[in-house]
Amino acid sequence: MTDHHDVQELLGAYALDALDPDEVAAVEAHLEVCARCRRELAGYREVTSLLGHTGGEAPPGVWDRIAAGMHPEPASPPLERIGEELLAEVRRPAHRDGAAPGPGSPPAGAAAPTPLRPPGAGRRRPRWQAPVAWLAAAAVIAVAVLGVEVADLHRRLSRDQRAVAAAPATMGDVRAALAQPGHRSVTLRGPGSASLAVVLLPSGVGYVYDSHLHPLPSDRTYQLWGVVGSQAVSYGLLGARPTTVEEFRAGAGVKALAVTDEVASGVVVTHQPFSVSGSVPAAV
Amino acid sequence: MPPSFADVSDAALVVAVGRYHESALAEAYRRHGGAVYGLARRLVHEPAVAEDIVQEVFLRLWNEPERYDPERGSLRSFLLAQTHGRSVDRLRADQSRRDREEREARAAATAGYDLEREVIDYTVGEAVREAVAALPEGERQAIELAYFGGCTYREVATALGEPEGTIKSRIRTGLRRMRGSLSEAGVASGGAE
Repeated sequence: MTDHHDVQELLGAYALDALDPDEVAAVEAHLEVCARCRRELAGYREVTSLLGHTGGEAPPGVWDRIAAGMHPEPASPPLERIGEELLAEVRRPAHRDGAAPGPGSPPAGAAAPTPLRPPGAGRRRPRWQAPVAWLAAAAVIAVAVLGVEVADLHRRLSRDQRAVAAAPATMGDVRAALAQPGHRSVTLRGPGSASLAVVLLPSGVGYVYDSHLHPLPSDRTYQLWGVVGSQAVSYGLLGARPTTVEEFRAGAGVKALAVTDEVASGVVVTHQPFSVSGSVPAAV
Repeated sequence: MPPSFADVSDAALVVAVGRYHESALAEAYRRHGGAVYGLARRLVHEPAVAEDIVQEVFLRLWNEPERYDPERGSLRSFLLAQTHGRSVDRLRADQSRRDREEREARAAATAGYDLEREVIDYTVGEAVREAVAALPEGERQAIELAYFGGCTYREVATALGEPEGTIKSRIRTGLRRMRGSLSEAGVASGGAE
């Protein structure tokens, strides 16, 4: 066992890759548990990166080799890819219900969900528990997201908003939906008298109506979410004072719906408690 | 349209790489590919080998972005540390003991030359040159043989005919001294250890 003092003596040489392999192993084991040595090493690394930075351009041909060697994304999209799921829905409504993409589909990667790393490959991967737990009071979708992701999503959400606005739904659509065989009705409920009615058709088309949500300030919006498998999917923004009927498209396996109170541009991942929520009955 | 990462921080870039945004890796390459290549080339000399190392370093960032911990330093510092490690591995794996001895001799012969020649940009380059110039000769030689010569501190000790313990502590003391000069000059953070 190497003690702190011995390792400290080696840190300079470690920063220069000038240790023998057994010493490297001892230093790395100690670094895992010693914040002080990690700070000291970070200081040395800063020095070596200044020494080692000779400037110059990135060689252009090498990028093509890197791009060719990049592994594709894994197949199953986990919960964090909320906005892109929604975008995919808006762009490719015909692919709901498991229909295969047609020959005219956009190439994979254009609108496809961009999932995070598979479990075990990294750190920032909280998962939702069972839907029951998800519907527990004060459920929070807690995922750290940096500005870039949010800004990216904002653009997507505004496009989604436009997509919804381009085809205003009416109570006539809701009545027609309620008359269709196989429709599912959900009443989302929250504290006090807050509630929201939803009808879902087998095609995945849904309508939000009969809103009893408290009006929000103009810099806020209600945002609708669905649970599909183990992921949270944003179904769109409902505005600050939802009074009209809004149409959305739900994933085939949606288990629950919820609404949160967010900044007006919407969010990629919500940290807010649910204003209202409700389970979706299984499809018949 | 793919999101633009031109204005985001390095830390946010790595998060985006973690979400499989290829354009985020492309931006990281645009920012740091030159530095990575420059250091690899400096160590392994052969352009083709240096390009292989660049490819390995960026593909590793793509495949294992969680290895980069922003609390342990900047992305450039992380990438250059990876580059240095891989370059040194190549040097040590590819060469026989005899080659290594030749390398040590060559490194010793050029000691004091390369360090002072390096220029990053004018301000940073000046600060680095001054920090190097302020080092006692023994510390400067030890750091240079290890960092640019790819020698272990034991090999440095052999090359310079000094005890291993002396070289080990010269390297550490020299790095601390440089860190002090560079943070005084405002090109390195001044955090206490």
